[in-house]
Amino acid sequence: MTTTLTSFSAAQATLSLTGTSPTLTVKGNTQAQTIPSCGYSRSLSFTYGTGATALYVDTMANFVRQIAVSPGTDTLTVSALAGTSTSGTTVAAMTDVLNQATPVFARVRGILLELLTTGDTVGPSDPTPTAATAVVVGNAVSHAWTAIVNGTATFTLLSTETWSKVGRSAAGILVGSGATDQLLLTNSDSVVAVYRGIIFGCGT
Amino acid sequence: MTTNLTSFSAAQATLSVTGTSPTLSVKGNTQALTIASCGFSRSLTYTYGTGATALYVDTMANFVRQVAISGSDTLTVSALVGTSVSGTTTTAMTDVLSQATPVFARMRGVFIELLTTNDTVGASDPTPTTAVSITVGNAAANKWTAPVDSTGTWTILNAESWLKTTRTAAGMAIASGSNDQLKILNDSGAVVAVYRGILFGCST
Repeated sequence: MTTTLTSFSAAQATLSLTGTSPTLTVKGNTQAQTIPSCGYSRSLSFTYGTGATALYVDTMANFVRQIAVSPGTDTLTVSALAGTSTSGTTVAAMTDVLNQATPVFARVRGILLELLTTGDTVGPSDPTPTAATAVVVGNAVSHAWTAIVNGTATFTLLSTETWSKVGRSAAGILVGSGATDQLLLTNSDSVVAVYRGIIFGCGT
Repeated sequence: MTTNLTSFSAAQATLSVTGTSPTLSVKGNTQALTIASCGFSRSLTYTYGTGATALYVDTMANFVRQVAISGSDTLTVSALVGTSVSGTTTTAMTDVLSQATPVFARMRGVFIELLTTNDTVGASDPTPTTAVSITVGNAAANKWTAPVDSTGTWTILNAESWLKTTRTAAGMAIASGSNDQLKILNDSGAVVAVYRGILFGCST
């Protein structure tokens, strides 16, 4: 017969915590307890194609770039990602990994930025990640890409922080060439900052 | 013997595109071309624990909430309770690890998604809608500045998602009663907005 205990005395059993490891002791027999995997999974599948169709992608850029010490900046013109930066150092050619040309975006399906830290893995030609504490994203001098952050607002990426935005709509995250296509990253630290960027979307 | 062609005439082969499907014809034999899988994978593994140790997590909230037409929902992330300022309480705010009220002293990750019609939700969750967008940030008091600086805001359009994570020991700072409120405004004057939120971090 099995009896389900809804309560118990210390003489019957004890539940304790040593550090972060819970243990259960029943009549002198101690057993470490483990917590099952707990999480949330979200995946999206994109189709090769261009234009205003949901989940179509034909352009993808994956790059690691370096920003000069404060107040150094790097401005990404996402309508045509060129391999230069405003006051940083050009460190990786901006190449569409799907067609090996300059990445041109009329609409973006997803964007990820990560401020890398010492010891993070990068490619052999990439700059070495540093201990830079923060970069501030947004508020470009002109043509601010307002799909990312509204008006003149900014957000801060601390060291090791990752930020991303993904859109599933047909229109995507719109880019207006010459109007709303510039994303400014400003280094807040006295050491160069090294960040990873991933942008994928459509050329039309 | 294999000869690598560096160029070819139309009589030898043609490369064409029908819609978004490239095809290669060689001496009359046509073959559709496919593009190999192309992407970027990034995963982080967290450990059950609390306090200022990198990748420690002991609290996680995963919820779907509804925001009234042109109304707002303010999350007090230091202690997530199941009420909203002008929305409708739809799902109890529960720490999935301890089955108690989620209390955060530091955050490891934040995910917000404006759901759209036909998105899958739980049986007791509100039904996702076509609400055009929500604006996040700029709470009336005690603004949580980890997601956006100062009085800034960012917009999530229908079907868009936003994610920020950190690998630092400190995590994203939260100060109960001074830096812990995240406002979500429904920009639609016609339909309620339904969004998913996932927060995970440490209670101390």
